Amino acid sequence: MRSTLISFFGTAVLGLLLIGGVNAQYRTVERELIAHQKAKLDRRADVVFVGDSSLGNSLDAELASRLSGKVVANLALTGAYAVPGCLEMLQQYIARHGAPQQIWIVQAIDVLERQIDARRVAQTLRDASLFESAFKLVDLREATAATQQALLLQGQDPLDGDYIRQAAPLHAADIPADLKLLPVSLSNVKALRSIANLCRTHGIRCALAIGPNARKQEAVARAYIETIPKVLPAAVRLEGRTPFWIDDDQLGDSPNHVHPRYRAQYTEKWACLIAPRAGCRL
Amino acid sequence: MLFNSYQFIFVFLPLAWAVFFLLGARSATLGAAWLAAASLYFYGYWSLSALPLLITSIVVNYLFGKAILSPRSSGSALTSKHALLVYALVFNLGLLGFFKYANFLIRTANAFLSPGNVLPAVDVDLPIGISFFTFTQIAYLVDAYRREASERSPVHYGLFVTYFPHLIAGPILHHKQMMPQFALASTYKPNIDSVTLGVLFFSLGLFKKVVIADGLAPYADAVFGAAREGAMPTLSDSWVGALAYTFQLYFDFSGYCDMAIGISKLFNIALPINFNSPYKAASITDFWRRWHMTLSAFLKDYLYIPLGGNRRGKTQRYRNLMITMVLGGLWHGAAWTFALWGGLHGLYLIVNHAWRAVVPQGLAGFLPAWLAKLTGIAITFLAVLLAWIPFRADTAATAGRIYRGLLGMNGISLPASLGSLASSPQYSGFVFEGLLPIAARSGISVPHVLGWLGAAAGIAFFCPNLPEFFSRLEGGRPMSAAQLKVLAIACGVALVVSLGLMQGDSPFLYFQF
Repeated sequence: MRSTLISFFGTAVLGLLLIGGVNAQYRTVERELIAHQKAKLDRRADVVFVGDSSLGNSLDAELASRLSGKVVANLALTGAYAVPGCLEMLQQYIARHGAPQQIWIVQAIDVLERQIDARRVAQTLRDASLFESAFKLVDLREATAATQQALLLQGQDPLDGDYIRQAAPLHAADIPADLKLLPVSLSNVKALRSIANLCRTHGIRCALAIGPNARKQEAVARAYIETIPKVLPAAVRLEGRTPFWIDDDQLGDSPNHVHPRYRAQYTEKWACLIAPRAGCRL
Repeated sequence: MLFNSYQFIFVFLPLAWAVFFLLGARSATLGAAWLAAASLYFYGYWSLSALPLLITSIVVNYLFGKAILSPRSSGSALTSKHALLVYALVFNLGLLGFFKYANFLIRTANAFLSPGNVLPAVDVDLPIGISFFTFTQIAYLVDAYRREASERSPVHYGLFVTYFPHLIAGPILHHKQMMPQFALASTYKPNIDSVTLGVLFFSLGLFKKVVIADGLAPYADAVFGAAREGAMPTLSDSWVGALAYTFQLYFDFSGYCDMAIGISKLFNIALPINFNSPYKAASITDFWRRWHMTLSAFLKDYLYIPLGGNRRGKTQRYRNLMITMVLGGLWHGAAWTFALWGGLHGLYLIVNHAWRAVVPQGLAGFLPAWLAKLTGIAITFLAVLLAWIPFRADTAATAGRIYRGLLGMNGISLPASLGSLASSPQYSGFVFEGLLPIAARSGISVPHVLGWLGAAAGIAFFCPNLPEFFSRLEGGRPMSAAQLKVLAIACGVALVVSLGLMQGDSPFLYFQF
């Protein structure tokens, strides 16, 4: 039995050293984004935006700050984190700085239906323990953004200023006008309720906004949005002036991504929502 | 604290193990006291607020047990051992009833009351493991009453109840299995054979939980979550969701039990086997001899037989079976869906016994033996799968949507690439949203699902279970040195992969019971 035990522990120790070595070297787009967005948690803001890539691609926080006269933070993650990701970022923000004046939760229309493992989200977004950072196997699901991952492997920055660099834009003809959407998922509803509790407890003005979306899907998206108030807690209002509809020539690499050239234009719209002023156009 | 956490594996377990043997070398009582204290810390780490309740339960039950065993407990009617047992049962069932079933009863009563007269809910959290530590102690008290138990050491009694490998989710321990082991001097001396078996068992149990059960969880969660929110799962989504949960639960709970057995072996304590490849069962009776075996034995010894068992004719037997299974269902959780699960199994058992009474030779009377066995396994597996649906679903309505889906009543989904067929009248009952539309919306691909299900089914149906496998190391046909080395390396790899994939907060499904 002694040699069996030695073989077992020998294999385990070698394996763990191997994983630790790989982990120390390996980078993914998603890890880069999380590190980038979490670094912003150190700065205090008046208005905090949390959400998915529809937000990340449409809001320039510095420009929004200048336009609105308020310090704006854009903590956008991706649709893989959905509302549970927003909750986690907000909890971390409030733990450091207390309540901001406004919170905006921005989700693309097709992210609301996604069932997300909130435990996994929280684990990913919290600071890893020594054990976790050493032994965690690289999750292949993190490397789904193939184009951006390729940039990373070539040594280029996968982030374009403030968010993940986009791939080639979509052709409007490739976007289906019809969307078959499930009701808002339980994991998103639960996270919305927790955010509502935060908003109520800290007296924060909170709103759920639907991220920009291709105009081609307007009819079906509007019908879906009408169902959202049924599951939305009272402390979070639904911003009825969203989504901002993306015209075909302004599309980025997804039906809910604004092309980088138009980010400033859409930032103006977000600024109008947080601090309405004369001449605002939504 | 979870077995599948870094804190447990790298800090708590090595510390508890090393100090146990250091103290045990000086005094067995000191070693046992340390293990009991470490077990209380383990429980308190998970649920500090419930720790006083656990300690109260242990102290009160120990005193009841001591009084029942006392020769003076045969005096007046009020202090007779029978009366003491009744008081003790009232205490235990009262605690369980209050913490686990009060709100269930209130919700049920409110369903019949007018909206203005509803009863307020009781503000209590379910103490983790309460069903397990309560049942363990009830069994002890009943056996003390029958003069089959005689423990007088408070340290050993406390350790018997709190012993951390089993405390939260079983297996349900019997004092006859544990007390003699606590009393053995050899228990307190490290043993390389036990340590080797322990780490190998633990590694493979961890793999079953972290890699297989947690790997299957997203599919089950996606389908049952969508059904709960009102979605109507299609035929393929429903079957994938039901199969995923069927295997998830098995690998989750049996993985937990394998880990518990392995951890316990490190301390030279043998825990009872709780699973024996249940999905290989060829009848529902056989299934209950293989699934959660310590609970089945408990229900049989302390509920079914006291109710009369099979001693008073068929009708009484069937009634007793149904009562036992419905109560067994409610033991799992305070909801009517669990009662429905228990009722389904009660019905299955009744049908099984009735079939045996009418056709004593079973299917083997009509079919070749291998085909009869295969048919029995298939029918049993299907029946068990159908019963897991209300077990997993939050409400009967959710279960109903999945059942409709299993029958194809929510439509059949085909790949979107065949969308051109939609205009054809013979495809009017079909939707063209992909083979698994709900799974796809949660980012799960068809090959992933089928891969996981195939692997899980292959292991559950065709591989020996861990106790069978390791029995070869414990006195069965010995393995060669090369085979042992391969096994050790495979277990080492299983441990590394499991540590790499471990989710920080993925509790075992049976913790909720």
